[in-house]
Amino acid sequence: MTARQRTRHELNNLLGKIMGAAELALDRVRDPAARAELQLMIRCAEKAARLLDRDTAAKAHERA
Amino acid sequence: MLKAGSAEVLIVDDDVELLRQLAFAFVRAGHEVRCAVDGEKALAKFDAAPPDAVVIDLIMPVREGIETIMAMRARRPEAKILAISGGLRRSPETFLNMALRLGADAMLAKPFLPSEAVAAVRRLVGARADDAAA
Repeated sequence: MTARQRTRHELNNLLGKIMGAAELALDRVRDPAARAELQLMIRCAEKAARLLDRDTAAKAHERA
Repeated sequence: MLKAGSAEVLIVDDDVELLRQLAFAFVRAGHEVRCAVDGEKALAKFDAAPPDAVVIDLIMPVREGIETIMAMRARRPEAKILAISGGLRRSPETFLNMALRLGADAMLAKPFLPSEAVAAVRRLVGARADDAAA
């Protein structure tokens, strides 16, 4: 595994834990404003994962 | 005896925080959970009491996920295995695709929500119940 792949793997692990923590917290939180913040965390983490994918694909394309 | 719709799930990941999150989500969904932090410990638990489904990370110390999946598949061809990993999600040449070719039944790319893993296992275990009924 290259250094770049390792970094991507670690970032995806971290994003997964952010999403997981937010979803598990959503189960316990009833306050609408707090729920909205947790949902925003999930959306942002998902968007970050998509950007990471796109960046990795672009780098692979550049090398090809 | 487990209640209808629940399953015994073995979750394998060297990241103990992720392991805890997944275990919590599966237990909350009504499943029984065992955990392992590497492939070797997972195989020991798999052999001791075969679970209904395995959720396994691919990149781990001691024994890699793919090697562990192949060993589980060799022991129990009917095992239901969900591979998870944090590699590139859209590339055809990922560890996840390799895992599918070498024995996993389904894959889930990190990051994902715990509920997505629960739903994926529910689909796998449901598929096994369908096989048994046929």
